[in-house]
Amino acid sequence: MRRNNLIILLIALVTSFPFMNAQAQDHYAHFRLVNFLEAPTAELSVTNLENGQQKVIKMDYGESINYIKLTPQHYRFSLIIKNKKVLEKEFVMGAKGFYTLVIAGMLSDKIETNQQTTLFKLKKLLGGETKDDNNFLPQWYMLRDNYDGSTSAAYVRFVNINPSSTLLSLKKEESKLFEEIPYPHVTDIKKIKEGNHTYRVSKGDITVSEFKLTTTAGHIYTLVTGANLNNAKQLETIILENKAKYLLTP
Amino acid sequence: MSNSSKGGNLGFASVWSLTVGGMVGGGIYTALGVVVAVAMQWSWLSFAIAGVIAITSAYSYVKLANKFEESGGAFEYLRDINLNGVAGSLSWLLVIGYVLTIALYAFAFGHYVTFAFNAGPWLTRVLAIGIVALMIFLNLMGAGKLAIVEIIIVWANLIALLILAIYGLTQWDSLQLMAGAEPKSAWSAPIGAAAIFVSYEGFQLLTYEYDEIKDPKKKLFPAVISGVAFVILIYIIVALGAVILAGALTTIDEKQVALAVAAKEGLGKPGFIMIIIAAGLATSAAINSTLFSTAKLTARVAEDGEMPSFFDHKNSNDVPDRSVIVIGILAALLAILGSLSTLVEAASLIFLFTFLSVNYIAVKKLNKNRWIPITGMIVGGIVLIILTARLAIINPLSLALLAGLGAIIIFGRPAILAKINNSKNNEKK
Repeated sequence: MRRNNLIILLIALVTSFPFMNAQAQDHYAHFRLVNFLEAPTAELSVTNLENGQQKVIKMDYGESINYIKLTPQHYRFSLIIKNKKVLEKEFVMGAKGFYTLVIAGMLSDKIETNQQTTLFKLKKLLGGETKDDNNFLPQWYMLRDNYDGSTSAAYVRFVNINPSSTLLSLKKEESKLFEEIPYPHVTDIKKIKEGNHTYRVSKGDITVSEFKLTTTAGHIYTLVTGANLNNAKQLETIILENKAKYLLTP
Repeated sequence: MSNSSKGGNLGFASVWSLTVGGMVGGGIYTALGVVVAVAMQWSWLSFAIAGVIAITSAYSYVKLANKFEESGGAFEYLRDINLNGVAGSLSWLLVIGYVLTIALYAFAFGHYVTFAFNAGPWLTRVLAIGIVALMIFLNLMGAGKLAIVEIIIVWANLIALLILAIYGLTQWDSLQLMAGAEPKSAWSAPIGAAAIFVSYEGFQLLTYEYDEIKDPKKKLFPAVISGVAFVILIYIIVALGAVILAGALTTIDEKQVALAVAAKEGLGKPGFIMIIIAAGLATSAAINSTLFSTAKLTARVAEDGEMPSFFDHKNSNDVPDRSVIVIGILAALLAILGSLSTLVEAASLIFLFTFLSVNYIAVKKLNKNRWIPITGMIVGGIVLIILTARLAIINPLSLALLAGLGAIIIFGRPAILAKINNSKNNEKK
């Protein structure tokens, strides 16, 4: 009798939770793209492995695109440069997910698909998350944008995809936000005070990228820094903005 | 050797609850994100593979405990087959494993509670140190083993995990098991098993309490084996249910607090509060029981001259106070210095090695069903090799440190003990 009561209690608790947590969101996955691969125009094809439908996106270096809606499914992502396939990988786009795909690295003289060093292959074989430099060869990283932050603060994260062994730091005005970030690395998301501020990316004491940014509470700012192809002494930073999870609108 | 034909006060229900609590106490709260990063959609299979090693080792532990009829676990079994030196080395290694485990639980406690208050990393460190300090204090006061409190916490924890897992399963969406990430091959399952093996270590703490069990020859076997089987089932359904709620990439990104994120995602604020409370209680109880049992083991080993007699000292509450303090301080330091994956994998390596040793003794000493410890040895051996290779490639510094410690324990331990004992004798003279 006691056991039956416990089971009834468990079932009642489980079935009542959905009503306590009603969130109106659509079912689609959303993904955006940042291209920092040091190469001519890149062509990314995204193929739905269930129905074969394909989207093709063309992008130049240092560009980003806004979110694209995708049906939740397995997708094959292929990156083509000068008619040669540089990268190919399967990603699963989950329902209600918001993702940023970052492409980074440098092309080698002989272009092969998914070029990897032996150490990188070994790490992958043994279940490593393989976020290492892979000799600065082309790679991509999927970032999660569904951050469940407070709606009363702004948030920032820093992505170093400048193919170099030099560490980068990020300052907001004079306060240090992230220090000595290696390539390739995505920092955790950090809470900041909203408002208009100057941000500086530096290599040691030398500022290599400087920009003004107005931040709003409830928003997440992803600062992606890569090489500046027009000025070897400077770096280029792209700012991506999205709303914190419960403000995300399809 | 104590005669345990009648034993102590712990009945079947208590033994079962303490077996389950020793494992679920802190393991699943820290292991989920680590295993999903490695094995992705095969994480449930990783828990099943590690479960095979756990249940076969549990069989060996229980059969050996009933054969030798005494508390002390692997240390005593090795002594009983006249491998005193090996027993001494293994006991040192085990103590390191338990220090890592306490650090892991303190790390989890700090992260889960900090996450609830949305505070910075400084609070995580303060909480990790604070919870260990509190448990040191409680143990020194002689309140280290309150079976009834532990049993209540175990059941509260199990109910919270079951609600989370069952609700997740009712929302079945296999894509969520890989959402935002790259699907992995089934080969990743044994690698995942290697990485999180520590989440199964807790049942062996019970073998240190053999003398406290009522009619152990009759009750220990069914209670421990059914308890381990139940934990395997819980881990498998949590690995599926929680990841379905949170999604794979979120589980990996938020690995320190993966279950709280899953609960918030699926069950909203009530579920989030439920898991934070369960995590806080479960990790505190796990720290307490591991600290209590490890200090007892250290004192016991010191009594036999296999550790410095410094650790044998007891306070007015009959608690091995120096052991409690040293183990607690080391664990607190590791909790604030180590990373989650490093702590989990280093502890997993030590416990895999210990379980292999116990299975080996079982093969030697048991007359029936030897295929069970042999299975444990084969699966455990494969997983141990995989974990060693993984650490060598991905985290060579951890492996080098463990290897260095292992070398000191095996080759340096007799010299260290001799030096300490000599200086003590000189002082006495």
